[in-house]
Amino acid sequence: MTDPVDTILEPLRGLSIRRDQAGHLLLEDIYFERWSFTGQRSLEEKVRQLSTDRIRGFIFDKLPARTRAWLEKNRISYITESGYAAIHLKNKVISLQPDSRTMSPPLSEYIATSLTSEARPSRFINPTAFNIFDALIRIPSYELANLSGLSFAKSFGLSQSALSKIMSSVAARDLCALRKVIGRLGSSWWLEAMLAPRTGRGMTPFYHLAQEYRMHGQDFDRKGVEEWARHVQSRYSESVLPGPIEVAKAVGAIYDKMTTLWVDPKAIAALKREFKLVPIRAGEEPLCAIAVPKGDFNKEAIRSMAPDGGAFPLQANLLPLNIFRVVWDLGFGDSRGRDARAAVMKLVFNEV
Amino acid sequence: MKFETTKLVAWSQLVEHSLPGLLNIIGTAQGRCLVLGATVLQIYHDQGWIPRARATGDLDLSVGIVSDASEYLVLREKLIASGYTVSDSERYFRLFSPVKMGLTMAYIDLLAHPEGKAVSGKEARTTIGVGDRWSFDEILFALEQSYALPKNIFVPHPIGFLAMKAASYIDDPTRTKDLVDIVDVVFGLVGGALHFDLGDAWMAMAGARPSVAVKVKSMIGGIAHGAINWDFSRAEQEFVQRGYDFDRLEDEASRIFTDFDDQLQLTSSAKA
Repeated sequence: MTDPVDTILEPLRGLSIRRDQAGHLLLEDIYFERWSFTGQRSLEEKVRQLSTDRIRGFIFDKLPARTRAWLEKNRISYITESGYAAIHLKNKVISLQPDSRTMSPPLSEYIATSLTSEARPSRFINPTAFNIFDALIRIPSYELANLSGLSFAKSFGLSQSALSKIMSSVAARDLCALRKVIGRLGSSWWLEAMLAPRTGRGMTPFYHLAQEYRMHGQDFDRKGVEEWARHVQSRYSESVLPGPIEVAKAVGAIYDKMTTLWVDPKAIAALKREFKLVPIRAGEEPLCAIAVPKGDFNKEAIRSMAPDGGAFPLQANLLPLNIFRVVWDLGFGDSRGRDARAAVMKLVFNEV
Repeated sequence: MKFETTKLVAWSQLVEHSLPGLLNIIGTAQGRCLVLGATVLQIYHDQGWIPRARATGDLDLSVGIVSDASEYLVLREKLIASGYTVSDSERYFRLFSPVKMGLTMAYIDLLAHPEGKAVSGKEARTTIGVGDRWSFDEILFALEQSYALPKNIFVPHPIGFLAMKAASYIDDPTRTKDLVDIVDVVFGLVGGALHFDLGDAWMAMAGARPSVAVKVKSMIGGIAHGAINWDFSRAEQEFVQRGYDFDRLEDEASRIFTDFDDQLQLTSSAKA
């Protein structure tokens, strides 16, 4: 039978919520014990006797408003089975009201504050984390629920230590909880965090690397450009991926005749030779913009570590792209690219 | 990258017209005679390899000396006997045409290089009256993979031409024309997608004379990455005169020289 407290704490699933062997609740670093309320005087006596070796809270079946006010005034966390709660976290108090599915302040605000002040966006905006997040949102919940962090990391070639640090920083108990955190952070947090200082180490933006090329002796119309891009990706299936702008085009956020490609450094010279691609000069119309990453596709989180997962409404050739990396890259483009980020980020939230 | 001698009919006629008898006399030389200088740009332009040539009033040639210096002296005497004159005592190698016409080649700089082990570099330098700093390495590099014309005339492969221009500019950075010539050739080859065809020639030349190949690679990489010794600012006037948009030039050169370098690198990697 479900403990009614678990239902009350449902909105707090992004936090660390555990039970010890005796069934006692540990929420973040607050140890809760049950207390049958018989009067405020006996409660005050209990509080005075509490040891200071751990932070304590109380679970009550019911509690008068006057006593709730007294507990809040004395910064003592409590949960009542009737649906009231006050959780005194570091520098933040989370309050819950009965029959309310929302909380004040919203959890996402708390987590966002926690991320920026304690966990830092740099832990989330880097290729290792992008590989984890992208794989995480592509795996169906029912599969994720059966995976431990270790098996998930091993299955998709992800960094287990990075996964562990990320989960600790948002107090996610398991992979499902971590996935929910991704969604609860909200689009605006992600878009701001991706542009925050000291983030993105280990990745060079597509726009900073891209060079524009024309094909010597050939002009293409829009359809021809698309056909050529498909041909190149098919011909160099291991070494060529669509550029991030192709995703923005697919969601209708950008219209551009030129195609964009990521090309592995080992393949670029041969590809240019095969298709007679030469750098454009002033006044010449480009066929494509090509970016060659410094590292390989996986190290730079360009290619998804779980390319077969997810249900993004995109063409098949775009599915192997790491969707977080796509959004991050678009932030370094022109205004069209930056505007397109929100539209692409929706793909992430549809998954979580 | 095909060299078509049929495209040089007009050039041959111009040489014959403005420098009468030269080609026949050069044809009697024992060693190979390499075309140098701006004339090479005209030939590349005639081949369709670069979009423009630059005007020049002379023809620079280097004659290969196989046995001894007398070979050079014989050629020089034959030219003088045909009406060519020497009027610059400091330039022993410069011979003026007997034909005085505007808009044609007015003189020849007849240089020499050692070809074979019988002749030392010092002997060749003494023969043409140049100092110890005069290097033959780049000329010999340029003779590798060169294109043969009738009458014992050879045109350097573009990589050889780049080697000679790079050496000349390093020796004297006030010769800004050399730097712009380098850019003209590389931009022309890349713009025409001809750099994709350089690989085999590059490997042969680099294999024959690796020390010069290293200098060529250094020059290409230096321009691609904006090295200080290949700074374009000192040649700004020359670039602008040849129609370059100087504001865009460094960015374009970086990209185009990088692509040029990539193709040489690709060939080297493939053959390694």
